[in-house]
Amino acid sequence: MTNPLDGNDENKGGHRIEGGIDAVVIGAGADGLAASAYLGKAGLRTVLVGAGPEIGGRIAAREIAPGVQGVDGEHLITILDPDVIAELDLYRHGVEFAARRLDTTYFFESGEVLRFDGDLTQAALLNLEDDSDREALEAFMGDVLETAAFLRPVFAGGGYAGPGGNHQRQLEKVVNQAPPEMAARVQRYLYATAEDVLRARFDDEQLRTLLLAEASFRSASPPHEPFSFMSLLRRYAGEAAGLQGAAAYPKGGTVSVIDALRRAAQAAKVDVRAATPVKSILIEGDRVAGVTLADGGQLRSSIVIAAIDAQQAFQDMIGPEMIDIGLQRILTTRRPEISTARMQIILKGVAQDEATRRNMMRRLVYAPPPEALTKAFIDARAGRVPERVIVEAMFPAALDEGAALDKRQVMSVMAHPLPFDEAPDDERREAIRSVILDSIEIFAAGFAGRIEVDDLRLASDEAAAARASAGAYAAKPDVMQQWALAAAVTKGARISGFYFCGPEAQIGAGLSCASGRAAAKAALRAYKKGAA
Amino acid sequence: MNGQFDFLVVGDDEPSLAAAAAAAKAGARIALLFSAERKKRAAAASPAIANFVWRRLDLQDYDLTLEPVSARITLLKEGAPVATYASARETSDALAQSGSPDHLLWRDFLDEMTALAPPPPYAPAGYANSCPPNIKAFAALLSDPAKLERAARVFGTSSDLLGDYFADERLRAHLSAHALAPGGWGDKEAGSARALMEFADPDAWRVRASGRDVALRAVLEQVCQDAGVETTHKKPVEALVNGKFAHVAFDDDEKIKVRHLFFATPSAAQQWGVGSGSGNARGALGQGAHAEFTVRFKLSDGAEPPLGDPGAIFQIIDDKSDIQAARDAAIQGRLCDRLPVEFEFSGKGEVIARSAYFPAAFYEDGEWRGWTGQDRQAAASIIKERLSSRMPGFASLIRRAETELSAPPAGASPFAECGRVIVQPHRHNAISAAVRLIDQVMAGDD
Amino acid sequence: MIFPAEDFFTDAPRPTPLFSAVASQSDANLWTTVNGWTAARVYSSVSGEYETAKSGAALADLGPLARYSVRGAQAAEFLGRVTTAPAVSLHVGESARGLMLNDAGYVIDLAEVSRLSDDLFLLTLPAPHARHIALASRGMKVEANDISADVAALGVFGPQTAGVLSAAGLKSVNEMTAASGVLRGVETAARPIQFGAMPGMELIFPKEEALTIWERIMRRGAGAPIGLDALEVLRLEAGVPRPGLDFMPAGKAGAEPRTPEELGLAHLAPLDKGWFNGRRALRELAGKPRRRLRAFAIDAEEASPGAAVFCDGKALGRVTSCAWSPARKRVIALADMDAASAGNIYEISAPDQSGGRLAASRLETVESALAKAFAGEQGDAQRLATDFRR
Repeated sequence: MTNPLDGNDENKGGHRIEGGIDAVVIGAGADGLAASAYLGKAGLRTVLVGAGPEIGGRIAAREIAPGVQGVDGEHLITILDPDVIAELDLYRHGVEFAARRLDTTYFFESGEVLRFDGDLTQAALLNLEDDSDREALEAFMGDVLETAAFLRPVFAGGGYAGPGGNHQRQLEKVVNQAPPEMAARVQRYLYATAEDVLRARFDDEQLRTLLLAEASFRSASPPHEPFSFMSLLRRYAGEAAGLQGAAAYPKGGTVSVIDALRRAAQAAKVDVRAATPVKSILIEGDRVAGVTLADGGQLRSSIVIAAIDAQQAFQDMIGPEMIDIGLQRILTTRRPEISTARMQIILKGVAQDEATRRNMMRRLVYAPPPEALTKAFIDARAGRVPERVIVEAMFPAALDEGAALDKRQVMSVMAHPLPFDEAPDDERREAIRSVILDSIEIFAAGFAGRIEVDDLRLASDEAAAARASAGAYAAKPDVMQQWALAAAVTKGARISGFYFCGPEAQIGAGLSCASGRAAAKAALRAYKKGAA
Repeated sequence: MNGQFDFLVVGDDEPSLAAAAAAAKAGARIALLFSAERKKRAAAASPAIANFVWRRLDLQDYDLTLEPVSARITLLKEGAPVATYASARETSDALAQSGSPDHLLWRDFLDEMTALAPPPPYAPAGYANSCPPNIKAFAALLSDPAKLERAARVFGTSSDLLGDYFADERLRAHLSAHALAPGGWGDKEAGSARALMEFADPDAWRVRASGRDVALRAVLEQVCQDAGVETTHKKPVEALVNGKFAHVAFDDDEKIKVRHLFFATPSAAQQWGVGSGSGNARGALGQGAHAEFTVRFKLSDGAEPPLGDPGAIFQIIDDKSDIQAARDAAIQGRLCDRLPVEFEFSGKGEVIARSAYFPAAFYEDGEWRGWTGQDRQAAASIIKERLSSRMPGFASLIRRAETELSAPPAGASPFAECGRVIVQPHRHNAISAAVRLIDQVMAGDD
Repeated sequence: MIFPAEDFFTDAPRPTPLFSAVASQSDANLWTTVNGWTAARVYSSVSGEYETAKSGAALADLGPLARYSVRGAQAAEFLGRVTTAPAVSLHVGESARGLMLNDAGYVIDLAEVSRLSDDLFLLTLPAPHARHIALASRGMKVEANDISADVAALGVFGPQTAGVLSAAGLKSVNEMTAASGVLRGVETAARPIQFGAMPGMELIFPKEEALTIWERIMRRGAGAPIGLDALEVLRLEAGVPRPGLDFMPAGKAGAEPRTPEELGLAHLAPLDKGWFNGRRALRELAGKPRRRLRAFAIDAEEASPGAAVFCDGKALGRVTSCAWSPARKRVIALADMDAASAGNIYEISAPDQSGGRLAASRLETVESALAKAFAGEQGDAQRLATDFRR
């Protein structure tokens, strides 16, 4: 055996070869931080390298106007893996929920309003008049939450290979043991369109409208196409602050979760290196051997976890000449067409009356009529900016006093569906900006007059900031396509010691960390087996 | 007709007749329901009869010769027509001759589609209101990335599949048109790739009765009769499920008991207001459903088919974006301005032109409404214009035009409350698929 | 290289560039199609043609095989990816056999790679795989073109091969490396090939010159044509599996896929050399064959494919292809066997439906000898860990 540290001086151009590392994690976003924290906690000497100057990836704090901090990426927590919170002790590392289960107020084109309790298991519709509608909703929510809970392991995505990596076989077992009623339901829901299911369940137009909006929000799968109902199940399978299907807001915003993950990683003695772009992943035989950095240096290690997008990991860093032909086809087939936009708006003045203030403590959703929603998907897919979009809005300062500003307030918005552009021009940005503002105006009349600053963030902006491939954060296709893609990428091209937990490994949108955890666990199983 | 039946097969098209006859020959008791207003008219080409169906129905005992249609041809807005043939070699050569860079890929494409074609066991069999749970297949799917990958391709979009396969835009447009237009699908819809796989099946290649003297339909009716299928023209008014049977009541108060109601095609179902329950739901009035509209043009002599080929199936589209745009229009409840139209020459001085990209209902001023006489006129005139755009002078040859709409009827369906309805979604190989489906249901009963 | 047993294009076969030349030599007038091309099954007699290959020089029209020219900066890496042949380590003039595997490590087809210059290779396959090649070249600096229809190809087998080459104006060539020459202004290339495991040379020339070259060789009396049926005997003697007969190419509808090891071809896909598509999946499958393709000699005048193979009295497989071998005076066969089917007494059900059995014995072929040698080599565990790719 030769010591890889020997001969450093002879290396061409003085490039350093660093050894003594057990694991390298590429990508300093949420999943990368979580994965590295798990490895570090288990005693592995772990180096986390991020390409950008800051740690944190897509979800990051940014000054959106002088003196005003905004948070990019996500504004609510819906599917954060509770196991990650517990196992990495995120509460101790600073996560604190300001609101654990946000109620949602749905606004309709007609000007009418419906309010949903944040705890969906209550299925309490706070102001629904008709008893039969209430019963239908209760029964529906019962079915959906039960099915979603049952499918939760399925939505965890990916089948990490390697010793003990029998996640998929366990999954098969779990699903196989479904009671007949659940089996029938899963089978019925699997291929179903959200429209078909909801039309069969509800006479009430508004309930249908709001559930259609929830089902298609942040998904590229239109509500009238197969598998679209699964998107709703995925959303409700998530957990926030211990509550299935809930939406929660952490103090300091979602970026506080990233900060806590970073602290967890540092506490686990992970060597965190920002501004350290990776050029390629080293493969020797069919094993991973480390990474080559953009500056020519090498980090040698027998475990590499890629928490970056699949294009970068497989195509750029490993290269087509070293990945299987079928995997490459899977990675190059689909071009994203639909995306979600984020907008942070600084409004002049603060709410004075109690009713408005209470409303601002909720998640506000504008649900366009089903026909308008269908048209929005059709337009977005054809590359046109729709006339109406679903808007999800929340006011950080209403939930978190720390976010309060003087005589101003920030409204945080996500809007969907919008066309995806790799490089949107100013005209496109302006069109998107105005459709979002128009859609907000529908439920907040006169709102436009109070805008001081609005800050629009498209999927391509997020990708650029996180140094990801342009399409990495576009909306995901239907659940079936996501399963297949996640299964393909998490096999890590069958290179032993290599694990993938980039955005393609996750089913559904939102901050989850489940794939970072799964990748780290798979790596640890293999490591322990190798050591034993 | 009275008593207890295994199936009430509803419809008088070839797939319905073949399924009814095959099930009856296998020992099932079958009632066959024809619609009251049946017309005698020249037959359009039908899906091929697979060998196993031929044997099941003993078609050699009947005076029937089938001829495959000569070609599938697409008339794009610009450039020469694109054609594919039953023979892979002929297609490959034709593509090479037209300078397509993809001619060498043709055989691989057919091979791959054939390998993907058998429907995965977890695919819904087309049950409108009930679906046998097959959770094991789903579980097995989740445990095997290769199976998942295959499922993702089968249930993916035709646009992705073709875009990944062929560089030739014109060939892609042609394949989209012929694979998707008959079912009214969009090429960017999830699940549309399956239509492409089925379309490549040799059993999906359409055929016509040779000489067209003896129609296939007439032969199949004879087979049904010989097999002991009982037929009726009565109007059902209600069907209610009681245990393992549906009790179907007719307008003359007669009642029968049937195990299953069977619709071999979605248009048969749609005429009775029944949806197929698949992603491409037809039947229900409102968003997402679509209708098929057919015009039969009686022509004076001298009509010249494009390429001089009277035996082909023609599709008219301007370019490949038309397919999804037409589907979008149907979903939104409006007429499409660049309507994809399929047509063929019937051999009796007739052109049969149809499009499945019409809305089942129209959405205007925030309301859904059904078809009116005016809509039928507008639809017929769009189709006439589309034909004229590819066959100059076509309009002047028309002597008479008959229209036919396959859209859900106004009012409630007699089968609305019935849970034992089986609807086969649109299939390219509709005849063999219908026989397989009825077999599958019979096997489930045993 | 060998001919595939299944043909996708059975209708309207087209003539190969050498067709009119070989047709004039055909007394038997017995034809078949391969990849949509017309191919002669027999010219005069199977035994005569077989004898020519053994003692003289047999000329085979190899036009029906699929051929690709592969050029570009990453041509070698591309071929190393798409086939298991060691393309990267080939010197100019060298050829190597290999397999084409899918991602899961199962055999799609056989392959042969020749390096004609630094960045130009020739890839020969039993059947065209346009889609697989298009996918494999995606994202790489390489251009692979199907040149099957543009060239004539003449395979030469037997001890007198050198005479044919010199007749074709390629005197300087040795039998290990490719060479090119000009014969009356016609550019001609020769390269070593193997039909199955039987060594030979292949002459490639522009299709327009097919007849000129053929006539020149025939005028010198340097060789005689050999048809598919005689080649089939040679193939079986060499013990090489034939796609569509001894195994179904992975990815075909209904195919039960086979690993190289299951086909007795593990030596063509070594796990410790350069990377190739499917290798990592193959590593997981290595050493766990479910089936074995085995060669047998049967003490009979004839046998039929599909016949059951009994191992110590138990039916554990079936014959996939067989032919009478004039050299061994027995029927030789390949059989698809249960992996755990090593025994002492082998029998094969008789073709006459009588229920009788024919005595058989395991046969050592060129291919099985290679596999055996390779397996011995693989036992040396040290070698497994020494591969570095970049």
